[in-house]
Formats: sequence, structure tokens, C-alpha cells
Amino acid sequence: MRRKTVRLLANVGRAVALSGCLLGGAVALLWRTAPDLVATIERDLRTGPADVAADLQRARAGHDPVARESALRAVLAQLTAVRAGQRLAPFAVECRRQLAMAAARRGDLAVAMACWREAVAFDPLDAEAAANLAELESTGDGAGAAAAAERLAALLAMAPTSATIVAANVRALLRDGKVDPAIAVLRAAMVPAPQTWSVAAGTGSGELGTPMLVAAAGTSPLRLPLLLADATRHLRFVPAVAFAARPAAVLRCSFPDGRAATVPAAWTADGAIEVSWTEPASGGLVELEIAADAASLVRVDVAWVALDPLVDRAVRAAARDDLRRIRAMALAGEPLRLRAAATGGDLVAAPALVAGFEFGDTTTTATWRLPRAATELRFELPGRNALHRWTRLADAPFAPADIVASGDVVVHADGIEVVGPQPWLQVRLREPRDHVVVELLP
Amino acid sequence: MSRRLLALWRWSWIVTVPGLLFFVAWARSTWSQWRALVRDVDPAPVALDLHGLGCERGAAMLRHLRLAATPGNLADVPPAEQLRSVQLFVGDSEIDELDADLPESGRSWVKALLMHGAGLREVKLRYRGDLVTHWGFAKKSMRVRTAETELFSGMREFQLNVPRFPLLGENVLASRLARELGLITPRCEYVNVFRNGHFCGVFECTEQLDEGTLRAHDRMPGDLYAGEALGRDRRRGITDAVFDAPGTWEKLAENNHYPVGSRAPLEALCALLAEPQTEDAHARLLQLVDADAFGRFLAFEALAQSAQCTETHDWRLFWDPWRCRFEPVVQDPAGWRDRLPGRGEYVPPVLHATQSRLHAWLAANGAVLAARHEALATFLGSERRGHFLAEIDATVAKLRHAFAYDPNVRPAAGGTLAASLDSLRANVGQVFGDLARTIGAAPRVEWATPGGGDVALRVDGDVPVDGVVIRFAAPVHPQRAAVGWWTFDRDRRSVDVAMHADGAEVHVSIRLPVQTLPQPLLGAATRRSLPLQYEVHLAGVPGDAVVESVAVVHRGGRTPAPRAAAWPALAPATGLFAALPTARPAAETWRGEVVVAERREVLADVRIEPGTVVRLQPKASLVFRGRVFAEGEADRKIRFEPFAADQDPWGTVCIEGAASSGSRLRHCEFRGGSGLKEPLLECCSMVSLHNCRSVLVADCTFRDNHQYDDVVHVMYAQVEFERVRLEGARADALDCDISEVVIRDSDFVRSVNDGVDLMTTKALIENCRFVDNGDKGVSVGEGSVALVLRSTFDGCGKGLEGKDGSVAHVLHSDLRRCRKVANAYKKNWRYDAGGTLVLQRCVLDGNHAMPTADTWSQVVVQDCATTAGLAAEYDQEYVDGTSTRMQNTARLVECSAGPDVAPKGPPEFPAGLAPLRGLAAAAWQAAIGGKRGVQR
Repeated sequence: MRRKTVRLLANVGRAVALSGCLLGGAVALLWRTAPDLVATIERDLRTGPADVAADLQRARAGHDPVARESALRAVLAQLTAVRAGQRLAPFAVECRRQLAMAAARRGDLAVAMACWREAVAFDPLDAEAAANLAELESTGDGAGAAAAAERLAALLAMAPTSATIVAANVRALLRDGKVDPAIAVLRAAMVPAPQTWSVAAGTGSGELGTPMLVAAAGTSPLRLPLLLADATRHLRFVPAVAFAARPAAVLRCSFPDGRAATVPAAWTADGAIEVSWTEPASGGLVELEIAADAASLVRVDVAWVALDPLVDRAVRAAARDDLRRIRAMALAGEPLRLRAAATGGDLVAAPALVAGFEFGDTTTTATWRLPRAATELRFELPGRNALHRWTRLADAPFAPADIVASGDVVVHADGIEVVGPQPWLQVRLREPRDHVVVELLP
Repeated sequence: MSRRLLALWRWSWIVTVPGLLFFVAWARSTWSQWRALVRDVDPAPVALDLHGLGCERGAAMLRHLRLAATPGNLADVPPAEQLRSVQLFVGDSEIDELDADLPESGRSWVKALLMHGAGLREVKLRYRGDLVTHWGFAKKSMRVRTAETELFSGMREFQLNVPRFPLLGENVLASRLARELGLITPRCEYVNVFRNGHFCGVFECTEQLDEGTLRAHDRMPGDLYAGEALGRDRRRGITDAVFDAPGTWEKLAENNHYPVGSRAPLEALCALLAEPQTEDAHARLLQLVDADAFGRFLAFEALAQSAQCTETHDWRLFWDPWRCRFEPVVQDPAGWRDRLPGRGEYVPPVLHATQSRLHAWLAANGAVLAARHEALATFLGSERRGHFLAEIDATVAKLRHAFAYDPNVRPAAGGTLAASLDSLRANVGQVFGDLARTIGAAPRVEWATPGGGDVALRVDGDVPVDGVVIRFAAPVHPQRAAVGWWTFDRDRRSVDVAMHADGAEVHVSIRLPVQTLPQPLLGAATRRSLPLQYEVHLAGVPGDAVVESVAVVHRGGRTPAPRAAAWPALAPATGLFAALPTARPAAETWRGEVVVAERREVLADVRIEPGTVVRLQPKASLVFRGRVFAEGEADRKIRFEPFAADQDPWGTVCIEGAASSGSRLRHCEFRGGSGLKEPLLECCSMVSLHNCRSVLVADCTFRDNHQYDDVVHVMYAQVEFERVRLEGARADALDCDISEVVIRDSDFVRSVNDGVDLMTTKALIENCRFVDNGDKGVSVGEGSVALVLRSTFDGCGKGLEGKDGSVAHVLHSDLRRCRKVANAYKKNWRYDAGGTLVLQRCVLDGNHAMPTADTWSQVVVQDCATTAGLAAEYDQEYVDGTSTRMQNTARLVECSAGPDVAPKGPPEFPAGLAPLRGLAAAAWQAAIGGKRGVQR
């Protein structure tokens, strides 16, 4: 090689090395003096989960089940390299779960099993997937079905109050024609919820302090005694496990100067009890008193198993009063709410009304009495999807055309099904009504 | 100038090329690490970001360069100032396999070699830990498992963890503190780890929790539960509140008397914690948990400021099947986490942590709180506090040396680590000091006289009252004292308390606990005290007696209490249950015929009169929780026998618990019993003496036990047997575990297995006879220490057998017609050594085989009457039915025919029996003398 070329290459090399050093120096200076800028760069780099979340949200929206499944599979295809424990793992889990449930809804059990099998292989500790898979596999014949039934029983022994596992066991037993054992499993799971609460205090500005664990005391009423710091004006009590009931609650206060007071407490939509006041607390002793016996406060998540379509049909066929009570408890614990407004009115600001239920032989009827006639209705369902097909609305068959907006909805021939973790439905009535009746078919 | 510039340019590559390489290496590794530890996984609860990782990488690379350029290494540190070393050898392909695809790839075992014992031993190794700090950096946490019958420093399996200190708390010293407080905790120490000859850095070497940990703490094998629902232990679809899901707890050790996977005790505890708190519920809690152990546990958490045991993870609970109580086990305590530099301003230590529902219950239980206060006051008020702080200094000194050469230390930037080391002792000392001031203060008490001769006390603050001194205007003569209080349920409770009067002063001894309630705050929540009222009633003091003053007694002395100006209405306890021990039921007297139809629990003290016959129906059992005085007479024995002649066996007679200490059984006969097995209680013998002290069993006979192995079982107890006869045992006649026993003038006849079976027990056996026992006359196992004096072994399978770290001396005894005189071997691989047996001045006559001992054991026959020789080899048999041909290491020293002792002075008390000195030295001296053998 000619000397000139060698010299040129050497100079290029020197220039590259020098540039690299200067770049390194600049980066070091940036790192040292501008950590916020580095954080901003990091945020821009870390878009993965947000993109996948948006894709998954889009995939789950829409009314066409075929399009939904196709979109979900496309999202899952992006996540083939993801492993359990990684950031994107929850999205992969959710995709497989949605696909499995969709397949089960349309009766394609083979696909449903394949999805659950993938889910279990992805995360062997996914007890929900394992239970659902075992439930489907137990419906066959032979050694495989027996082994699946054993796995299901083992899961139940491990977690006898897990709603998912109880539901899978109960359904599997019902499909096997074992009604009494199924109902026995459900009843055994209906144990009182643990009386551990987390309590957070606030000054009334909306900000809450770190919650602390408190164990309730007493039999009936239940009591949660606390000491107040002076600045406290608001308390929020959250039970460890949501109850299938909303018993009355009141905060009884006593102060060192001998004063006593009683402040009504209210249940929130998310199953907490909140209480606020304006006077200084002056280090007083307060007790949240809940007018209930702990034994009556069963877990709402297990109570909702009684509303599973298969279980519901068995309950109706068996005419079991105790399970009708459980169903009622479940719905009382997480009610179906309705906001109503006149045409063009503000639905969001409208008060949420709670339904009354009637359980007929074949259907369930939810009824609301409105303070004034309305055409715009927004239904907010509990996040458990146990109220399945909406067959009639206001004396007429439920028509998809009535839907103005909604969460995830599946349209069937005889009605619609509202699915998803936060199901909601907004409809417009053809004429104003002050009395809304919805018929639900399991 | 231009020439200079040109030269600069020409030679710039000397600086710029290394600089470029450094930058490229830094950028690549930072990006790779950020991708693996932050982008792809959620590193929570570890706080990692791009900026932090970049700084860390840069500092680490500079550190490597500095260490490479600096002369000197760890070998320059004097050995006395070094940590212990662990030498591992792992092949490159094995390391590549582990590192291939972290963290998953690190979970498979690979082969490795570990230097221990006589040389390199094969082990298995893998990475461990869910947190990125365990696997995400150059230093990776490992788990090492030795071969099945080998131990590394007494451990079959252990962890080498990336030190938590200083980023996530401190484990080693905190574990040491837990052990100091008497808590069960795995062994944990800092070590230098070398891999393939290269120093990898400082690690925490932690014993893997298993049955071995329990044995090391003198606990019988039982269920050891681990409650974890974080990271890889999290099960989707099942709650992560571990007390809501007992079925998800892992069993690290099991009681093999129950079905595999059974967890009845844990289910009982979780079910109880789901209930609302009541007095009754807390009484049941005290039947499930060892209040003293949990009190020490809370004290430990306060001293170490450890808050690792939460609703979702880090719980380790040991169910002792014989004490029928849970004990906490401390693992990974992460001590003083929020006290390390960089954590913000110092805040006073938290005394009342309630990060789980179990904590919430314990913080409201009077018995647990009393134990906590006792543990805190004892530790902080004694020289143990200073010793522990000195230990911190010594450990820090060694760590300083080790970290100086640690190539993979985190944080790599020296400032934080050095500051943490510098301040660790000061921080811990400050925590100790603050707590000492809190609990060493005088209790806050007011008093009033509500009338009727009573004195009302209002106790507030963090310090309980240990007693009160009431001074009257004139001398009084109280007959008894009682303390009353109102429970949460508005029940009036009262308990008699000790008192003595001294003229006008009445001294009442009673610990009055304080109550605390949760106080949620905008910042960290806490518990604050709320005054609690008690009333002292002195019977026999006139109602118009004038109280002049009241003083409270506490650890710091005696402090006058102010009289209350205004007395609010008596308020019930709001945040305290089981404030004071429940009064025991009135003592009972049994006489005549007593029929027991089922399991009957007796809480009261019981006196059983001579001639009483206790007839037990099939499976009926008696569980005495109080003292038993069953003192018959020679011609009017007390009999425990079947209700009907041909019935199925009855269960057990069990004397259990500290309140039963001091029990006496004299001239009693027991026959026809079996045992008792319930989910929460196991008695594997006809008569069970558990967890009690100073028990005397004299002139009693025991025979005809059924179904269960042992006739009499002693566990965690201190018992004296005199002139007892145990005959025809189904397996062992007397089984003693983790106990202290004295057996005199007693007979053990025709047991199918052993006459006396000792496990981790101290025993003095004098003037006893072991006749025709199928296996051993006396079995000395698992760390037992036994002295046998002037006893006879006749026709037994073996006279004695020593195993597994046990030591036994037999002096002036006869061993005749046994199939084998004695044997010693290593039975349990958990022990480094076998048994040690020394026979001195004994007569060995008519035995089929002479003593034998394996390689790990010792048998010495010294100055005994025997002419038989020892076998060179023998077949050592094991419980699994296998046998191994062994070299016999037993020895004969100064033995000869005939009864005359060798011309020497009396033997000194053996050094190997030092743990027995207090119990047996006098008996040893008295037994020496005369001819060989039993006869004097």
C-alpha cells in the first residue's frame, strides 16, 4: 500500500479515536450534569410496553369477534420472545387468556385448551390458566381426564377460596353431572372474608398517607379502633378481600376532653369505606363500627361463582335457596349501576343508581326506578362478567343498534354480552322512561 | 509550534484509542445491562435506571483498572483479619451454560468442585434469587449442594449471596443478633469466594433452611413452613396475601409422622388470623404461637429495624409438634435498611411495626408484648449489647479489607461503601440507644382511689409496669391481692397476684402491659399508646384506709406515680387482649374410681390420692397442663388402666407445658395405653412428659403399651426416674429427646428395641438393670451425653450403642450375655462424627461379640475384666437394612481377667462429659472404688 494511503488511514483512525473520545467525554459530562435529560432519553427508549398496551387495547375493542381474535393473535405474535417475569409478560398472559375465553365462548374447546396449555407452559405458576386447562381436559374420557380432575382437585386443596379455581372445579363437577359435590365445593369456599383492613389517613385534600394494616376486633358489630393525628380529616378503610355485602358503618369518636361524636361512613364503588369530617381530631380515639357479624361477610369474588352461567343453571334446576341467597349477596356486594339522563344530558355527572334484582326460573331481571324520565342510559357493570346476555331492555329485545358506546361487547343472536375487566354500556332508548328493566340470561 | 501539534496529533492514539475503547465498552455494557435489567424486566423493588447503571458501570470499570494496576491482593491481609474463604472450581462451559440466558439459564444445576475437608469435593451449583441484584451483575448469588453424605461446615446445602449491605440492608450481623436473642436462624457469615483461583468478592454464606437448622437449635424435626408470594413465587389467580393461602406455603422440613403436605397447624393459624380479634381468639392464638419466641422476634425486629416479614413474603414458621406451638425463623432480615447513608434524615426507630396481620395481632397480645419488653430490656441492659457492637467492629474491619480487593463490589464507587462501613456501628448504636431510652424510661402511671379499698391505675406510654408499691397512712394487713381490668368485650377480669405487706407498704408484683393502637399518618404510620386502666384490690384492707402514695416498679427502679386530678370513667381495653395471664382453675382432687371416656384436657393442678384407679376407655387420653401430684403408697398404688379387660388400648397420659413443672408420680402403675395423634398434638407413647421441668417419677411401673413405639417419652423436659420398672415395651421403653434425665435404681426389661433411647439428651444412669432388651440396653444418639454408673446389661442385643456426636462413659458396670457388648458408628450423615463410648472398670462376660467402632467413632475399653479380643473387621448394619464391612477401631487398654483394677489412681471426671458435670460429678466420685463391675 502506498505511503500516502497508509498515512491517510492512520489519520482517519486518529480522527475516529479522537472523535470517540470527545463523544465519550460529552456523554460523561451529560451523565454527570444532566441526569434529568438522561431520564428523558430513557423514557423515550422505553416505549415498548406502552405500544403493546395500546395494541392490546385496540385488539380488544370492537364488536366483531373474528376481528378481535385476529388482532389478539397479531399482538401475541409480537411477544413470542417474551418470558415470564419480563415487563411484557402480562400482555402475553392477557392475550392468551382472551383468546382462550373467546374460543370457549364459541365452543371451540380444542383451541381454548391449546391457549391455556400455552399459558401454563409460559408460566407454570399461573394457577388460573392451570385451573381452566384442567377444567377443559377433565371433560373428556380416559386417563387424561382423570389426571386433569386430580390436578383440579389439587389446585382446590391449595387454594380453596380462590374464585377462579373454585369456579373451575364447580363447573367441572357440574359438567360431570355431580351437582351436590359441586355445590358442596362452592359452599365450602364461602368462608368469611379475613378481617384485615388497610387504613389510610388524609387531610381532606385528596392525598392519602401510607396505608397501615389493622385487624378488626369484636363480633357484632365489628370494630376498628384507631388513634387520630390532629391533621386527619379523612379515613379510608379497605378490606383485604371485598365482601359480598355493604353493611352500615359509622365512625364513633371520643376525645380526651370528653367530647363524643358519630360520623356516618359510606361505601365507595370500589368496595372501601370512607369517612370525612371538618373539625380537628385532637388526637382522639375513633372506632369504625360495622354493623355486621364477621361470619356473614363472605368473599364477594367466590360468591360471584354462583352467577357463572353453568352454576346458575344448576342452581335454578336444583332450586337451592342457599345459593339464591349467595347470588343476591354477590350482586349486593358489587352492584350493577345505572346513570341516566335526558337526551343531551350529562351522564357522567348523573348519580349512580343501584339495581334491584329478581331471580326468575330462567332469567334474572334488574330493575331501576329513575327520579325522572331519561333516554340516555349508561350501565356500569361489576368487573366479573357474570351477567351475561342482555336479552331485553325496556320491554323490547335488546338490539345492538341501541348501543351508543360500550366497553368490550360480544353480539349474539339472542342478545349481547358485555365482557372485559371494566365492562360498561351506553344505550339510547327510543322513548323516555322512568322505569328501566333489563332481562339477563345466563 | 506546528511541529509540536503534529507530534501531538501523531501520538494522540496512545490516549484516544484506550479512551475510545473504554467508552465503547462502557456504552455496550451499560446498554446491555439496561436492556436486560430495566427494559425487559421490572427490577422493582430494586431502583434501577439508565443514569444509575451508567454511573455504576463507569465506576466498576475504573475500579477494575485500578485493582489491576495496584500491587497487592487479599493474600497481603493478615489471616486473623480475613474472612473465611470458599474455593469453588467451575468449568468455563458450565459458567457459559449458567450465563447463557439469564435469569432462566441460571436455575439449572451444573457440576462444580468445592474445597473442603480433605480436598476437592464434587458439588452442584446454580444461581439463585429473583431480584436483579442476585443475577444481573458480575457478582451472582449461588446455591451450592454437596454430595448426599457430605457436609461443608456442617451444611448440606448453602447459599453464597451477593451481600445486601449496603444497598438493601444488612443480613449477617442482623442474623447474628437474631441468634443472640435465641431465635432460630440459619447460619450466616461473610466469606471471600474464589472461583477457579480468582477472587470473586465478598459474599454472604447462608445455610439453606432445612431440618439441619432445626437440629442445630435443639429442636425436634417438625414442619418448617415458608410463606412467599413475590417474584417467582407469585401464583397468578391466587392471592398474594400468604396468610390467606396456607396451601401455597412451601414445607422446607417435615414431620414425617404426618402425611406429606399436611399443614393442619398452619391452616389453624391462618383461619384464626382471618377472624376478628376477641379475648377468646387471643387465648387460642396463645395456644398456637410461642408467646416468648414471638416476643423475642418483635424485639429483634425493633433492634434490627427489620421489616421484611410482610403480608406477601419472607415468613418462615416452625411448628414444634411437641410443644404444639409456632416459632418464628429469621431469614434474610435486611437489618437497618433505612439507617444506611443516603436514606435521608435519621428517624427514631420504630418499636411497633405492623406490616402483616400477624404483626397486628401480636401487637395487641399482652403475653407477647410482655415477652418483647423482657427481651429488649434484657438485651439492651446487659453487656450483650456491648459485645454485639464490638462484633460489628470486628466484622467491619474484616469487610474493609475484603471490599478493598473485591473486584465486583456494589456500589463500585467507593464513597458509599466506605461511608456505610464507617457508619454501620454508629447507626446500630444509635438505634440501640434510642430504644434503650424508650423502654428504660419510667412507666407513665397515674393513680386514684375509686373507693372500697381499691387503687386504680392508669398506665400509658411504651413501658409496662413491673409492680406497684402502695403506701397507706397506717399499717395494713391484706390477705391477698388481685388485679382487675375490663377487656375489649367489656368483661371484667381479675387475677390473683403475688404481694407482701411491710407495715404500711404493700408490694404487689404484677406486670401491667400497655396498649397501643394504630395511628395512620400522612407519612409512615405507627402505633401510639392509649392509657389502660387496672384496679388493684387488696382483700382485708378496710375500705376507709387512706392511700398516701403509689410508686411503680420498673427495671430502672421505683418511681412515684402522680395522683390523678380527675379520673375519667373506667374504660375497657381497646387495643390489648390477653393483658394478664388467665387465672388457673381451682385445683382438683381425684379419688376412688375416675373414668375417662375420651380426650380430656385438665388445666388445673390435680392431686390424685393413693388407691385411686383411673380407668380409661378405648382411645381415651388425659392431657395435664397443670401440675400432677399422683402420689400413691406402696400398698395403695394409683393405677392407670383400661376401663374393661379386653378393650382396645387407651391413648396416653400426657403431662405437658411449663405449668406442669414440678409434677410428681409416685407408686403409680400404667398399663394398656398406646399414644395419641391429632393434627396439632402428637404423643407417641403411653406416658408423655413434654416441655416441663423438675418432674419426679418414682416407684412406678409401666407395661403393656400398644400400637405406638414408646412406653414413656420425655421431650424438652427435665425428669428424675427412681425405682421405676418398664417392661415389655413394643419398641423403646424410655425415649428421651432434647432433655435432661436422671435414672436411678430402675429396671428396663424385655423391650423389643431399646431400654433407654437418648437423643440430644443429658443423662445420668445409676444402678440400673437392662435385661433382655432386643436391641440396645442404652442407645446414646445425636449429640447426647450420658454417664452410666454401676449398672447391669444382661442379655441385650447390644449393651450400649453410641452414634452421631454422642459421648457416653460407663463406669463400674457389668455387661453380660449380650450379643455384642457395645458399638459406635456414624448413623446420620448430618453429623461429622460418630459416637464415643468409654467403658471403664467394667466386667465383660459371656458376650457373643466384643465392642466395635467405625472410622468416625471411638470405643475404648479401659481397665475392664475381659480376656476376649477385638475383631479386626465387622459388618456395620444400617436402618435401611444395608450393611458395610468396616475396620474395627475399638481399643482395649489395660484390660485383664479378674476383678482387680489396674494399679492406678481414681479416674478423673471425663472431659467429654463436661456438659454433665453439674449433674453427675458427685455421682462419679461416689461410684469410684472397689473391684471392677457392679459389685463394690
